[in-house]
Amino acid sequence: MRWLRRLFHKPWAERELDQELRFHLEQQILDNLAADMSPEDARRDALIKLGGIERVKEEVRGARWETQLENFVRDFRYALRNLRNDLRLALTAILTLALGIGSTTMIFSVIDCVLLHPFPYKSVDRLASISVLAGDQQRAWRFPVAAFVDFKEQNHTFDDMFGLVFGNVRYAGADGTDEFFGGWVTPDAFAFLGIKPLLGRGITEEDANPGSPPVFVMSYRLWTAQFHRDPKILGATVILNGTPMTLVGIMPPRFRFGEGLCEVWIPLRLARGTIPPGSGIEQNEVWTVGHLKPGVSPETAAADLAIIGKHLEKTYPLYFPPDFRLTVNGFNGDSVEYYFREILFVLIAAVALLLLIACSNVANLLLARATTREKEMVIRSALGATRSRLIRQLLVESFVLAAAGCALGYALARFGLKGVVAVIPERTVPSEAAISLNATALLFALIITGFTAVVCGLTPALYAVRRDLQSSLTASGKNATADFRHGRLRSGLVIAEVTFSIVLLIGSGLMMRTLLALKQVDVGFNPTNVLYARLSLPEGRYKNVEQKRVLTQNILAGIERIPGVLAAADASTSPPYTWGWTTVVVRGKPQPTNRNTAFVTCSEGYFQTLERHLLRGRLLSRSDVGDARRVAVVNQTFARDHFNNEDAIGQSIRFSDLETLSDWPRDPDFEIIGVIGDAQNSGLQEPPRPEVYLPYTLTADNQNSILVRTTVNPYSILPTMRREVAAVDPEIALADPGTIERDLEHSYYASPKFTFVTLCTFAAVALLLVAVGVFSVISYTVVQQTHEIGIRMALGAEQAEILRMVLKKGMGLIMTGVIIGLFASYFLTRFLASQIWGISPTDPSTFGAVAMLAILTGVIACLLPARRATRVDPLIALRYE
Amino acid sequence: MNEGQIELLRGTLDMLVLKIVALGPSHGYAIAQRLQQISKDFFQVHQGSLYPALHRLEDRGWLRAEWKESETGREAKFYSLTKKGRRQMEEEARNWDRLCDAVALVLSAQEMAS
Repeated sequence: MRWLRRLFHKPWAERELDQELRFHLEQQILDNLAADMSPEDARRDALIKLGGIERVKEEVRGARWETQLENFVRDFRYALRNLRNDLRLALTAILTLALGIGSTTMIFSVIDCVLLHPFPYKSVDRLASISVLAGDQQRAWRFPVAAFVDFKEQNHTFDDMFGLVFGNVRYAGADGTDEFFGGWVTPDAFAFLGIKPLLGRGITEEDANPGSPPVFVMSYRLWTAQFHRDPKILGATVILNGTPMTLVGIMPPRFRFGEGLCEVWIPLRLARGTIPPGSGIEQNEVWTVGHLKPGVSPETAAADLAIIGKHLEKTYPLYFPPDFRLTVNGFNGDSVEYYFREILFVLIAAVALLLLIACSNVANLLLARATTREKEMVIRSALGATRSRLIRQLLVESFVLAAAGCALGYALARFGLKGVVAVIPERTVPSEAAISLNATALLFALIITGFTAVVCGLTPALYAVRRDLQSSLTASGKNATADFRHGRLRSGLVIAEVTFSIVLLIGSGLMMRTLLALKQVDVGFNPTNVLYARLSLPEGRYKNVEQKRVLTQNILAGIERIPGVLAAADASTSPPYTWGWTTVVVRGKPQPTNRNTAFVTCSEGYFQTLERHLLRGRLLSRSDVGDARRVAVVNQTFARDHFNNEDAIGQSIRFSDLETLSDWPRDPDFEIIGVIGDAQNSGLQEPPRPEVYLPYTLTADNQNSILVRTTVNPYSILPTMRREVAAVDPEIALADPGTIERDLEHSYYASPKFTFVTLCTFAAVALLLVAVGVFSVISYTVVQQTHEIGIRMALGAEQAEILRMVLKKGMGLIMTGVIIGLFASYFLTRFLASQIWGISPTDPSTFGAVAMLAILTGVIACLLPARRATRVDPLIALRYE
Repeated sequence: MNEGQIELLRGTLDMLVLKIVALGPSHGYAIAQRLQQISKDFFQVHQGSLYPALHRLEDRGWLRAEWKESETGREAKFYSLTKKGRRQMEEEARNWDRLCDAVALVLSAQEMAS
């Protein structure tokens, strides 16, 4: 390769060029001699025609690429030397860029991992699940087996479909029974998803054949939690839902197929009429996932399936009501909670602002430097450097800065991402998502770096070479302060920085207020140290009210004996959300039409366990519950809604829609015996709705959830509690334990906290950058005006006057930025509106506080250089000239 | 500079060089001579500016160079057109035609107006 040889064998290349030109000359001389010139004339004429060997050589060298490379290397070395000379500027710029590039890369990689590539499955962009909407509401996302089979057999838009039936899996261990969620999957699912098991094998077609030995595979999570990652359990046979099954595989951590809920997967062939053995659910509902044919859009597929759905309307009106709309939801994109997606978009906008602040800061630093380097530029161009050469040299400098910023920023992103992942609310992103800085993020960081280098470097570079050479050479460099355009550009950048930071600060201020407002909501009970768990009863036993009452009383008695337990109760639901709703009819009043009353069935310990406050009358007593009396305790809202100013105690009410519950009393009149204070029952953000509390012994259909108030860490009593339950009946499992405090945290505080923490971090960084920006610009102005200040002081100006002069300039910029920022925020906070609760998105006090904070920061940033200005010695300043 | 000679438009030299080399492999001196003959002394080309152009075109892969014996028996660097170079030449010729047409159109329009 000739060009490669040229780079490494310079003498060779030179020799070749020399020979070529020499040949040219000799030919010309020969021709000239042939035209009867004298030898001297022939030679002279040839040289004149060629234009001087050395000059041509120089031009040829300039045209060759390796010279360009050399120039680049020289620029690079020169840039390094330059930056080393001005280390403070270089470090400030690098750190600033690192913060900008780092936060942008960090948020980008969250978006990339969570929104764009959350699933590890094969050809996931063609995987889609099916759901049915009626009106605005989702009606069904799982379908009867017959519908699944119809979909699978009659569609024209899917390569194939596979299904999963969710169900509880009861696992009989050595010390009692455990329960977790499992998925019965069609055997082709594993081949489709294309995930290699961590240990053993996945589920195959043969596993679902009739007569093949029952097998299952396990999630990494269950393997870790239950079996402490013991590889020896592979091949073990355990009893699941009463059937011995062999564990054939353990899946890797990111395999969470089935909405992230399943801990075990069991093969199941779905044909018309199959019922998964012991799945514990009556309706045989299949979560239907399809693999779209290439090039088929979800909309086309939805139209295709809707035709099949039309035929199912008659058989399954519950799933396909007359106005049903069928949707096909791609796995990618539709799998993240809507609100979290919004937060991520707000955050990417926030970091983009931060990056812009960082860029304008660095541009400002470089601009200031370009001004002090005017003379250098002028001399270089006088010595023959072309404009493009000068611009390139300055751009190389900003690329060096940006590259260093990129390396540091990438490290920051790596570090910060751990923090972000730690505060991401649970259940908002697919469990399959693994958030990390991957190759895409690195590529993104590099692109961003290129962008910042150009943005930061181009303006100062263009500025540096645009100046009129003559005037700069003659004028004293420092004295040339009158360049308006230049000063305006730098001031504009500072104003923009302040504006951006105001927007970010107001965003995080509003989120902080939201979080505080949520924390201040009076939930109406004491949420600390309350454990709840569901009793999962073995099938066939505990069918009637009496059996259940005896069981519950025994279990509660056992739990109350545990040291550290203050009170325990049976309850159908745990606050702050009530799941049962009913319609209440008060004798002599018009019948309401909607189910607006929450109802809770509970044991007498419920009120004490939650520390609810009795207002009037009395609470449920032991004998009320034991004898299943038709009495009710109501909340304050109920009493106010139905009885306004009358006394609710002793009034008689009916429930018009509870007769379907098993063992529900025939005589429907209930007597109100007490009124208790309100507690949140529709979440934290909604006011409490009317609620009634009835003895759990009225029906055998109750949920059998246990609430326990403890004096110690609630989770610490869980093992003892399991033993107590097993002592009553070893086949009862304590399922889905949790604490109300954790629920509140996860459901209500976690997401505003995430938004707040992330936005606040970015806003703090932005404010810091603004301080640096204002400081550097004002410092620079002071240095430039040293001469002027010196004259003023020599003429008798007071120090206070000088201070005022400098502060005025700085504060002018800041105030302009603050005002524009407030206006911008007024329009921008609406994008945050869905995250904000309890205050207005244009809350005046937040706006005011943020403006004050920005102004204060600005004053401090101006004050340091301003004080330096007052200490200017007139003599030195004047001698400077 | 003689009357009637014009300086070459930027980039036109490249096109002319490609065109000449397309006629057959030749060395720098020959190209310079032919450039002058073909253009009938109309263009003023410093022979010196030919070499940077040749090297640039070689860098871009439009020309290929090899050392061969010349007609006088001396070793000379011969340039020949590559496939890429031929495409480039055609492309530039087309552009040139288009430019000429456009200029002609403008000029004739002016005449009609006057």
